[in-house]
Amino acid sequence: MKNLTSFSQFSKADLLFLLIIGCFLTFAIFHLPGRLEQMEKIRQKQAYPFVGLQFSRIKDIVHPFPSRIGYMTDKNLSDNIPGMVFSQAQYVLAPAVLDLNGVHHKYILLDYSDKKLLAKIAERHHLVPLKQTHWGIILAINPEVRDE
Amino acid sequence: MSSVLTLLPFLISLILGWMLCDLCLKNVKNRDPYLDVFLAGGIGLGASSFLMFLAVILKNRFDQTAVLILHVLALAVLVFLIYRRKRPPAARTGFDLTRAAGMVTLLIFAWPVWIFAKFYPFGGWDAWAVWNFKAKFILLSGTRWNELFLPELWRSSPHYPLLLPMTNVWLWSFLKTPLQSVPMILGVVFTMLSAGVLMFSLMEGRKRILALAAPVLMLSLPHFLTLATNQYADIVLGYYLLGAAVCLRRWLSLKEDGWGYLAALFLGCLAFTKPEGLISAGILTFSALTLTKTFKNLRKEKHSVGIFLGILVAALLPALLFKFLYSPGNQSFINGLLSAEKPSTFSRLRFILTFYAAEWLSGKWNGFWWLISAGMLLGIRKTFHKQNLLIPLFLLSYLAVITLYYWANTYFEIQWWMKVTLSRLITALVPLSIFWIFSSIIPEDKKQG
Repeated sequence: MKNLTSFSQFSKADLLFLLIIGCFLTFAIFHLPGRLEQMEKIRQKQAYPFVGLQFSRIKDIVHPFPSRIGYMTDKNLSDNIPGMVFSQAQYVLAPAVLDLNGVHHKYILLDYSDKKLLAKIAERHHLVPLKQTHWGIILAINPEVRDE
Repeated sequence: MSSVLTLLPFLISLILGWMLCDLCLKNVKNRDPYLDVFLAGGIGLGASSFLMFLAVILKNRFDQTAVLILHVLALAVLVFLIYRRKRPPAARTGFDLTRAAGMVTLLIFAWPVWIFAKFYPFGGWDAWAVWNFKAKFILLSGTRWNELFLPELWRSSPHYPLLLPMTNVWLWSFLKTPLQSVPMILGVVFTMLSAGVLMFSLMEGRKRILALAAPVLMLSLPHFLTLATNQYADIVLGYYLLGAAVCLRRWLSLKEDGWGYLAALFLGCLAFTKPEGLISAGILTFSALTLTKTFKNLRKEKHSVGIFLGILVAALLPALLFKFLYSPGNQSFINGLLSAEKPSTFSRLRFILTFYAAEWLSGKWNGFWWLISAGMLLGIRKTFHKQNLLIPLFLLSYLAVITLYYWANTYFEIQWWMKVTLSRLITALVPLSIFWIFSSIIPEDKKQG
């Protein structure tokens, strides 16, 4: 009875709104565990794919670690995947700054879909490949450039 | 050991925030320690971020000793100020079943928030391209830290303020390494702080049991949880926006100046989160000062408005320093109102408005915005009552400014731009919108006074 009188402070519109909220919450709370279970299953099947991790070992190879690394590509970085690879490379390799299409650096990352063009570029700038990531991106060194 | 070093800066920030809250709210009667904790957590992290920024400016690099000295100094000053005041704080004591139930509810809902955060351990696109990248760069680059503002790093939005990156650097400062789990934990922390402020501010003076539903409503929205835990600054902005609105609303409706002083700190943090945060802080301050004219008690108290403005100016210093000394300006801006090549057309405006409608109708929000609209319409007299007017005034002004910006800045193709940004902008408004509707609908409890 006490509870009923306390609800008399609400207008009919408020009570209608509270009823809607009740329905909404019931629906949301019943659906949330299913969603969480689905997410757990996805992660059990496949770990989170962070393509930038392919660059993490570069820090072990390159000594001393430079402040600038060239990043040459024939891909359009406005497209989703090449843009993501570049941004994640920048994140993983920080505090080095990636210089897009900058060739005058000791270390250069080569992300080319056209292998003939890649060979031409490497030859023109006297680049020596050091390592290839499993996504096919090559870390090359320019022996003619001094440490940065 | 690394978990202790991860938790230690959180603890220091909480103590710092608690002292700042204590100092601001010294004359506030019947303080709720539960609400204080959730306000202190965010204010403390914001203050630590300011101190980190100051340390980086002073030493021109990340320096662990400098930031620790600044924290010790700040804590010493606060201890002195709190110790010398005449009246001890009058906090509410004793066990409160509803508030305890609220804490249990938050603990239960921390689990789904954590699952969502773990699903993307590196966060979303802007987490690695903007926020975490900046933090990592500041931590590791030494005296080269201001290369962050070079034009070649335009992809990391160099004009965005540094509250979130500086907070992450502070949280990494004991470890001295950019541990990836820290930004993930921070996303969870800000989500839970928002839920806590929402719940305990609604319990104050109202039917408490109904306030339990407000954070549950927020934390059961999968789309909100995805965006809140993706390590972007939007949940940080949403938290400070809510905190500022809660404190300003209390300042306007109660005779307690302390809420105004705390609001000023929240507004300073808000302005340092994102460019939208600076705009929000401006609109909220302007709206609050306009509304003071409608409240007799504040019109008479010009003194408290003066102190509010003084604290606000001090709290805005990091945002203003960044804006005028470091920010290279927005490089992705074309003024379509003046440009002949890329003009702001009527069809662009029509598209923006249509996109709003599509977002409102979108199934990804599970009908949340319909619910908020229904609440607004069903309680229209209360939702636009003078006591609640601050929030609708802010929301309308903010949406108008955002619409104008989408329309006037023609640098980006509008379809792509709205697709990737509108949901995020709206995410920051979720806690505030729930607070607005619930604080209007739930009647006051006369027994609580």
